[in-house]
This record gives sequence, structure tokens and C-alpha cells, in this order.
Amino acid sequence: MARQIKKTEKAAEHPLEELLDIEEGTTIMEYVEPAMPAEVVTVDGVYDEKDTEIEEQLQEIYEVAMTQFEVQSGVCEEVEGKYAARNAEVAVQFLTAALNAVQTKSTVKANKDKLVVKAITSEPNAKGNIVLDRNELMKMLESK
Amino acid sequence: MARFKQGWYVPKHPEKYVGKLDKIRYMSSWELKTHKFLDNNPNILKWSSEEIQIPYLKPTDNRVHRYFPDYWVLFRNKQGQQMQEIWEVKPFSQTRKPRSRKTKTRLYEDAQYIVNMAKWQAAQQFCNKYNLKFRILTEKDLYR
Repeated sequence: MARQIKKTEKAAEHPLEELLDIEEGTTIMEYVEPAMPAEVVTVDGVYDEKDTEIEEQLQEIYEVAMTQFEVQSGVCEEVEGKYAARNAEVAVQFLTAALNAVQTKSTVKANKDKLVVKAITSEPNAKGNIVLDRNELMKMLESK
Repeated sequence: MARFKQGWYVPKHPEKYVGKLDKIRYMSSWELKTHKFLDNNPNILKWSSEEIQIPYLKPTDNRVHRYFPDYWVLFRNKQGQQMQEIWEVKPFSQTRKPRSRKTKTRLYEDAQYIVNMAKWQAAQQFCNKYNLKFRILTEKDLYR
């Protein structure tokens, strides 16, 4: 699911307010709202508490990195070229952190998928065949 | 690529701007920051950018030129008084006597300084005449 970037406005302090002797904290500034971590999808029987915790942490890293990427990209558009280049470098670093989080999640998912497939194969497929490895077959026969 | 961040500014509150809305430009990131402050602070009642012209005698050629100060601002202070000011945004280094040791640079900086002083003197006289305040904003005022 594509991440939604939310930009909101809030009253904030500005150095010129004090200089002009006007009410402080009244300048309306636009800022990137930190995204709420998306709900972690868990698969019963495959995910335990630790898995969920890891999944949540990776999701949080991804959200924070993407938010900071947006902030840095916004700064790039407002500063002189020589500073924008450095800000762009920082933005790329945040993007890399987000990508690493997604990659890790993807690896975890691939490993979990293998377990899920293994669990599913114990049930008859569409053709009515049961695909099992030797150990599972032995266990089934034992239980009978 | 331009050395400084430049572009056209589209105000969020066009009703506050006095002048041609399609001709609001910024010549540096400092000016962009100031534009945003003036546009987004509710205590700034009216503002304009490079709309006022003040005649001044340029010392380098001894002829009358026009000086366009960066801003004219009408704002309400904490006491509820309405104040009018004229602002010029300049690097702090350009508000002090040049200290460069290189002859060529020094000559250029000296000329620039003398011209700036003539402009600001004319602006001060203009402000005295119309009961305004003249202020030079530097990076020390904009970034605290």
C-alpha cells in the first residue's frame, strides 16, 4: 500500500516575532506530519509475540525514515543550491534506511511464507491430493 | 544554476499583499523565509515586496537612482499598535565596513558598501518623513 504523506499547518514560533514585538508562536508553518505506524498484519500460528514486535519495529523505522525523507526533500526546495546538495544526501540516507527496513520485512515474510506453505500442504489441495514430507506423514500416521 | 535560491512567490493570503500578485519574487532563501513569515503570520496585516521606490544619489556616479527596499510591512504588535516598517534583507557582513585584504575584492566591497550606505541613508530619511521605521534584517535576525 502506498504511503500517504500528510502535510499540515500549525502555529509555531518565528525569530522575527520577537524582533517585531508581536505575539509569539503565531506564525502558521507547514510541516510533514509523522505517519502513524500501519497496523501489522500477523498470521495466526506463524507469528509469535517476538515476530510481531520485530514487525512493528521495522514498520516504525520505515515510517520515521520516510517522514524525515519528506522533510529533507522539502528543505532542499527552500535552500541555496550548495546546501540543497547536502540535504539531498541526507534525504537519500533516510530513503536507504526505509528501503533496508522494507527489505528486512520482505526477507522475514519470505521465511514465514515457507512455513505457511508447509502448514497448508497438510490439507488436501484442489485435486484432493495431500502433499507432505516424510516426517509429517509419519506424524499423521502415528496419531492415527 | 543561480548562486542563490530564486523564484516567484505565490502568497497563501493574497488579500494581505499590496502590489502585483504575479510579480512577487524572491532572490535568496532568506527572502523566501521572510516572504513566508509575512504571508503566514496573522499579525502581519499588509506587506509588499520591492514595491516602494526611493530616489537616492549614488556616490559612485553622482547620479540619482531608484532604490527598491525589500519589504514594506504593516503589522500589529503585542500592545495592539499598528506599526509600519521598511525592511532590507542583507548578509550581516555587508552591513559592516569591508575587511577583505585582496585589493580587487576590497575595491568592489568598498564600492558596494558606499552605495548601500547611500541607499539606507535615503531610506532612513524617507521613513522619517512618513513616520515609518527602517530596519535591516540579517541572518542573525532570521535564524536564531
